[in-house]
Amino acid sequence: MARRRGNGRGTLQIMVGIILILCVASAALFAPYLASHDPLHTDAGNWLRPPGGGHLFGTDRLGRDIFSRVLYGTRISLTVGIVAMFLSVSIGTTMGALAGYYGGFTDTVIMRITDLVMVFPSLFLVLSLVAIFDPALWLVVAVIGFTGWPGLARLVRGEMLRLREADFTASARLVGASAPRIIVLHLLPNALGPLLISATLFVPAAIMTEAGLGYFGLGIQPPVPTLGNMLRDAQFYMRHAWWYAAFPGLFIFISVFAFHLLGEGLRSRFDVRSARRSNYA
Amino acid sequence: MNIITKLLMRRAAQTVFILLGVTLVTFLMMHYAPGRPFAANPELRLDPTAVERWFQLRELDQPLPSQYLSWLSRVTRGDFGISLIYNRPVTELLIERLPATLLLTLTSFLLSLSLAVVLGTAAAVKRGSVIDSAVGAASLAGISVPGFWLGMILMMIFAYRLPWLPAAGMRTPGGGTLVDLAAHMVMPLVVLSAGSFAYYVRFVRFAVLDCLTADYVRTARAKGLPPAIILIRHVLPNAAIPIVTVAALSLPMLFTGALITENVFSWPGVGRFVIASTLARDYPVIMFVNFSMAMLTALANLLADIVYLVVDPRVRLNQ
Amino acid sequence: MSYRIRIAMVLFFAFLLSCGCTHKTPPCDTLYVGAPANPLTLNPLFIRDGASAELIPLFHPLLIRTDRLTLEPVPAVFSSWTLDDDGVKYLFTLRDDIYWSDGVPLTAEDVAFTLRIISHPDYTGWLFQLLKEINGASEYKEKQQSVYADGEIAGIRILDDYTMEVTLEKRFAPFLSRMTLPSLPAHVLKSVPVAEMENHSYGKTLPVSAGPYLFREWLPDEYVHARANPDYYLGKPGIQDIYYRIIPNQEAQMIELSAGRLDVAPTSVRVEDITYFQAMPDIRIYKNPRLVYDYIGFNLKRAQSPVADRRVRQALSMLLDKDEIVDNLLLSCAEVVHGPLLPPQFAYDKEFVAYGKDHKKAVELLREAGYRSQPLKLVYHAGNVVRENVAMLFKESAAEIGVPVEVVLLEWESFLAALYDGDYDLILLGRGVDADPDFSFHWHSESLANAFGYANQEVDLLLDAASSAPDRDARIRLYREAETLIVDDAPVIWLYTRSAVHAVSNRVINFSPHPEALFYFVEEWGLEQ
Repeated sequence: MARRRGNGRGTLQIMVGIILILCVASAALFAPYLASHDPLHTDAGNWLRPPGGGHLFGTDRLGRDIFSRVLYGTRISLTVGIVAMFLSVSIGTTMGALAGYYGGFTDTVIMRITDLVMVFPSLFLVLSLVAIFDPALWLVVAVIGFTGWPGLARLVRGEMLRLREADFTASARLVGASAPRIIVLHLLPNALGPLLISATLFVPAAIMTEAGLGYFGLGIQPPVPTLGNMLRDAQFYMRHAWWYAAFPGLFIFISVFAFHLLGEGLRSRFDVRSARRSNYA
Repeated sequence: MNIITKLLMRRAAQTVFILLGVTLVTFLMMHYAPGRPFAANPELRLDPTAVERWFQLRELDQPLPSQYLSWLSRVTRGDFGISLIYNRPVTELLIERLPATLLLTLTSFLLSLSLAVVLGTAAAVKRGSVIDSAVGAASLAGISVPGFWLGMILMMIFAYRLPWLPAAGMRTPGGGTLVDLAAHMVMPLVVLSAGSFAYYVRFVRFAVLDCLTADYVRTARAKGLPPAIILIRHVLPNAAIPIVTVAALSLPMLFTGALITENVFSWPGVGRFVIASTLARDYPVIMFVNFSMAMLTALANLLADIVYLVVDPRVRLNQ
Repeated sequence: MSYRIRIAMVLFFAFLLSCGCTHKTPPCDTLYVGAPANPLTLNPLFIRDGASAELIPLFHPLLIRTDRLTLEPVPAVFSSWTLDDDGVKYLFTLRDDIYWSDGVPLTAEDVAFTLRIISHPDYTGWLFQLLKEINGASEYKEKQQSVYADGEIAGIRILDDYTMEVTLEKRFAPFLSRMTLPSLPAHVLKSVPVAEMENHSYGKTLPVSAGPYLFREWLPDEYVHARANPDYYLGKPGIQDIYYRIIPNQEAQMIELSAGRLDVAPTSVRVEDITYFQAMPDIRIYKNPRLVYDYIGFNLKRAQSPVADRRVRQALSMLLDKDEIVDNLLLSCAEVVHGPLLPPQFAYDKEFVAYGKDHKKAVELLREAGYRSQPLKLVYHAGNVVRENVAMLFKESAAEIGVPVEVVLLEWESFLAALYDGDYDLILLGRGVDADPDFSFHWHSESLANAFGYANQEVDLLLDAASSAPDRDARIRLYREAETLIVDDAPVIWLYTRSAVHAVSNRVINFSPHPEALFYFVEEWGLEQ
């Protein structure tokens, strides 16, 4: 019962979340300096070596250094998660704000687009696009970003609908503030809490999606190391090399866990009970 | 209720347009993706003239617009075409595999939801207690662990190191007892339920907390009703609405989860079939799956909108 | 915690424990064989995937079989045959004791019907390539009006129920090895239009067949259940039930095998699993050669590519140490291949060696060809560890002599697309060949399957001469001559032929895999009691 109240609420979760994120992020950021080997270098004589002896996390089926690959893979996972999140948040916020503020025809059009994107089977979008273009990082980011925004748009629209009738909006309108000004300066800051939480929770969802695609062989293609495609390879060597699957999976877990912890903390802090989930949550 | 009828009608019309859009986009992307549906494996031997004839017989040599239109006109008659790989009706192939998927997803749905209701309520009632922290931790862990990784770990431990459970399939061929089926289901269920339990339990906890602080609960408490009665008569019925909404909305998510679980454990369901068909460019299957997934999601969203409308009149639906 | 919850938990754990006894001895007359994928069809004329191909000899009797070691044609449904002196007219005698599972005897009409389906204009399988030498087959394919496989092919004459005559357009030595086809029951299928045959339910339920096993049940993505045919013409097979269990996850297949829930993990046991299974007392490893080889193909159709120059191709053929690949990557479960002939084929010359690793010579050849470090694109596909390793080794060795190679790894369907669009300089893949050494199929300039566009008139002449040569020694000489010419042109880099590696439970006796298919002699298998 002695839960901390007021400012303290969620602080621990936020702190731990941020520390974990910083750890994972610096591992990813400094991957070129931390990596002990070239993540693509194959060594036919050194298959499936257990951790130790120059290979901190052991080697994979082609003799590549798992530690280095995990670092680079984490880099890709975080890039996908964060860039897709920014993409999605900007689209979602813009769409939601416009729909919610203007209402009427604008709202109808935007919400129908939202519905379309929301029901679109993104798995196949990714597959087809990966197949049409050279499978690349930007593509996966774009697909996750462009398909993940409807939840955010609905959220922001809801907040707008609630806030646009509020007194401070009316007074801003009275003194002649322009619509963008009202949206950016008055409405959005009031919706910041739920938005921040949704954005935070979008990152782990995107990381999971990328990993899942990689597991099915539909994501960023090998030889580029991603945590997902490493696990895809590793699944066939579980009996011989536990380390092969253990470390990439652990890094996905830690990254996702960290963002969820942060999101949870933010939720307690802003005391928002529930935000409707985005497509990927 | 009039507003709901209006909403339903408008939404039905919109859904038709959305489905048209989804199928058109899917169709175009599918056809512009490299690879042809003929499993022309260079490691087997094949006859190019026969391949050509095969394409003719399936009207795959027609221009794309006419292919799409003929697909559309057949769909209005309920005919989703014939799988290019299996040479059998798409609907038949999927219906064959649906029971296995439903068995897994519905069991998992009931299991994780009931577990979530029990534990989530306990966590909310004993807010800040050990139970609350444990549920919170379990929920965080469950939502953070990749399903396929969890599946691999379980398989390593319970099928390989301790050979207790089978690693693949739905039953021992020829010997289909209930215990046998259950043994095959344990690991897929755990993997599929871990994520959804984590997702549900936090909603249950929030919903129950919300109701616990409501006025009518305070009134009931003031009347001196025992806590158990308050919980059962007042809190849970009110918390049920958002919980049911969230649960309904999550049904498409369960199918996505089944994609992963079925592939890890060689479960003979729709998910495994969908991935294999996608990789093999089985156009009619891909079209049908996208169509029905879009339909399912649209329905779930519509349901959510209706519930929102009922629960919260502030959310105005465009005029 | 309430009393009820406690009871529920006790029951739950009791249930978990009761699952703990699944390591049981399987029934003594049932065999479980692992399959990597769901078969697509049981109709043997419309095979497009490995799993379905594997099942042909299980359900269907072959007209002629080939010997396990020599690959010589041996009698099956055709109990004997004679060839006239011109080498164009075969007289086949059928066994008169073969019955379809509905009691109707299998006769020459069934065989002729099957050959007509394959020659029909609406036929969409690939087998016609095997029959086009039959007199009148091509004409039938052009002129047949009816949608059914009726009418007559000029070169096929039924003399009586158990004798038939097949006339070829010209002498064609490999013909017998091409008659290793199954037969379909004419009385069941003759009213089905050929265009609909691929979609027909026969391929799904197999109501009538005559093979060593009869179809019982096919649960999609789970298993195919086959039961011994009590009236099989070679006697009832030794094992009563066979379940072909579909387990795409290969690791799960291995786990099931070591737990005793699977008896045979066929064909593609990974090399690193060999030592693992050898250490297990109740599992044995079997190896047999196969008629497949892996190679790196050059794009001969792209004139601006450096590999259009023969000297560049020859230089690139000298990059890899193939013995090292076989020893290290394949743990000797393979043999180095130097040309289109494979060890099981009678024309194979084990003295023939070409292109050892020689980087100095390679540099020289490249200089001669005026190669100026243009980058080369090597395309390969994901999922085959050995090929992935070879691609990496190739890239590294090429870098050593200053040839930049860009390796592109593609998902299977995209890989096929790249193959057909010709979007590559080098491509790494494998291919299967016939039991007969005739390699016209891949290397004759007029062959439809000559995907790389290799054309050498001298080779064409030699191949034509070889297929119509009257005796075997002449054929051997001609094929070897053609091989030398082709290898000199270096249209591909021949790498290795992998053995099939099977992991099999000890309770299986007389396990006899064949280079062509796992179940080829399945009737001989038995289970220890």
